[in-house]
Amino acid sequence: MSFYEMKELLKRKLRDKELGIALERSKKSYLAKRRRCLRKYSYIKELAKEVRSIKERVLSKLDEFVKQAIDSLEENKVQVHLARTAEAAREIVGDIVGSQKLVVKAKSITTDEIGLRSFLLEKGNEVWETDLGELIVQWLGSKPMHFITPAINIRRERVAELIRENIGVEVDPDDIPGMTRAVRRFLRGKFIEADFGVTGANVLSADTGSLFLVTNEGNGRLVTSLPEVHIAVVGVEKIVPTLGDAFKVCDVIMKYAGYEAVAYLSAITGPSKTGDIEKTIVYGAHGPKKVHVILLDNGRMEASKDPILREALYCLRCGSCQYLCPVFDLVGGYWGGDAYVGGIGVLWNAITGRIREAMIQSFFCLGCGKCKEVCPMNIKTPEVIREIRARWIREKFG
Amino acid sequence: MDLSSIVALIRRNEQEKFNPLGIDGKSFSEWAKGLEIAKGGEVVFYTGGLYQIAPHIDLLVSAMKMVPETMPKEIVRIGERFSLPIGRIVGKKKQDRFNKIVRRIFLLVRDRIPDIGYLWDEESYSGALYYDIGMDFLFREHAERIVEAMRRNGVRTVITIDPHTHHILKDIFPKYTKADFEIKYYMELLDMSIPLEGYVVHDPCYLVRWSGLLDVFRRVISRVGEPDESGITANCCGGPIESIFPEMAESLAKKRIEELVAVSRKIVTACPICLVNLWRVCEKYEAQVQDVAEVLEVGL
Ligand code: SF4
Repeated sequence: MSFYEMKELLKRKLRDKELGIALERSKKSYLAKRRRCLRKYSYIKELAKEVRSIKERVLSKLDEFVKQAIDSLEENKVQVHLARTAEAAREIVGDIVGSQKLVVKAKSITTDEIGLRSFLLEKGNEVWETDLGELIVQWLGSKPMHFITPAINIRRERVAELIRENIGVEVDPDDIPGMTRAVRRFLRGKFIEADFGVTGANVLSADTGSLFLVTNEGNGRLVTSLPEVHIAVVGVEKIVPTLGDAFKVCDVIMKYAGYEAVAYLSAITGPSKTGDIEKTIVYGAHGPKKVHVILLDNGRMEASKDPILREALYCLRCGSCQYLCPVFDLVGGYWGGDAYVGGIGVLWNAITGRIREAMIQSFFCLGCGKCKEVCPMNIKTPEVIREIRARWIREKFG
Repeated sequence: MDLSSIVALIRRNEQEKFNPLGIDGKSFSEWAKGLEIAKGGEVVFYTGGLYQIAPHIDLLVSAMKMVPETMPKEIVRIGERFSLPIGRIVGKKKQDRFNKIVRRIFLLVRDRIPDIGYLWDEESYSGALYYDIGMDFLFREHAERIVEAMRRNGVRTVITIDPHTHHILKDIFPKYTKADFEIKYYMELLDMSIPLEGYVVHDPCYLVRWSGLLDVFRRVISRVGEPDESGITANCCGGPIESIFPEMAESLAKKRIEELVAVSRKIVTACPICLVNLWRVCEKYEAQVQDVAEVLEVGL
């Protein structure tokens, strides 16, 4: 999309009343939850600072931590693949899955980054997003509009329509529990039948090789335990040194996403196993027999060496900056990239090789600095965006 | 108007008039008419021309909205209009209001520093827009010229009067030039605390976030109403995006005004960009937007 086309799109979105109402509802509810969390758990700001310094340490020698994580994962009998590009990552997953299979997914922005769902569908698989918001996005054929709330732009009335169109169940638009029930029933069988469960990870501890998933719906648990094979696509920036550090990161993510504690905090260390018969280890007792971890670079290693772009690698995907950005408040995730929306999305576009897109999107940032203020990692998004513009203008206009 | 025409226009205006809008800089000092202020000196009053330019930005925005975006040639002609002397494009009343704000701030400052100087025709726009857009080459040249002018005039301390100019001079100039002046925001000099019951405050992003002067601002005004998102997390008025996307700037201003009028229809702020952008939409809400310098009666 050109700058001009983007501006036209956003102009239309400024006039979109439905969108305005949906965004307003979400922001209000988030703000109340966030304020409550930050007030009640006053230690969290300090913990967030500590997490930033942990991540600073990792990113200053990312190569070493990647190596350590790979060793730990392999020791846990996890099959590790290092993917330098999005295409490479897609191919790896494609080779594992093959075709004519049933795949259930938990919400993962990293898999959106590499366009995994459509890739697996094209290969002739049946693929289901199991996070309710992400399923709505799948039905709409659009992109996720927020890190935490991917269907933030959709009002309940539209969700009722989608459920009718896609699973043929009539639901009252005011009956949100009824909608949730309908989807639960629909997905139940898919979980049981699925050959593969695909997820991302919120954190990966290098010492124990444990993958952490922060979820509320419980779909993350089902996706990682029912199918025989679990495939996790994890950005290398998600690595932290220790298991203890990983818990700290999860705590910060939860609180800044507006949850005191999420319903399901999962730590997965290798495939399911039992040694209950004569101490002989057998893999795949009740959970997956096999776990694959695809460690994704796709520009991250290079960014970790760029003092400006490195900022974005601290991002925990808590969504605070999106909920509270004044531009996002008006146009939602229509501003930003395909997987990474809003101001932080501009940075992630730049990191993942979509420089042109990043440049164009950068001009819709106000530089007001609010995102930096509300970000637990205090990411200098506006400064990085300015620098992205400056680099582009230097290139284009001398 | 596409990006390359904006860049081309800004570049030309900088070359011809040393500011992005091509305004005749001589009119920057109109506020000082009749005042005897020494040229230069150790401590100078630095307007950066932002209060003076602000009413023009308003006009540029209305013009840009009228011109179909597919006609860049027309835009260049609008650019030409902006090379006209100041008085002929902006309504006199509007210009007077902004000049008066600068004059008031000056009088407040002179109360504290009686021998404060001013650069007169050697003062210029700070270059903030070049920096924000990312036109680093223009910004550096521009900043170096300003630093030279200050050196020539024996300046050691600079008193700024708007948050954009303040942030640029204080935090950005040292990164691009050899500037080593002391930069102070005028409010830091004021030892007053004016109770503003019945008002609601709009905190400018560049004052409370980028310059970290929230405490100073609240010391100068007290007992003022606060909107839901205030202080360090205040929402932006939309002003920064007006030269690129006026419709967005307007929607942002409306959104912010709605938050503000939920507390009071009497809005006070401290930035020419906020003032212009909120002012443009305030009528519909029967609200009134004032600069803090317009409500600080004491000491004049
Ligand atoms: S940039 Fe900061 S606020 Fe935004 S999602 Fe990432 S961690 Fe959260």
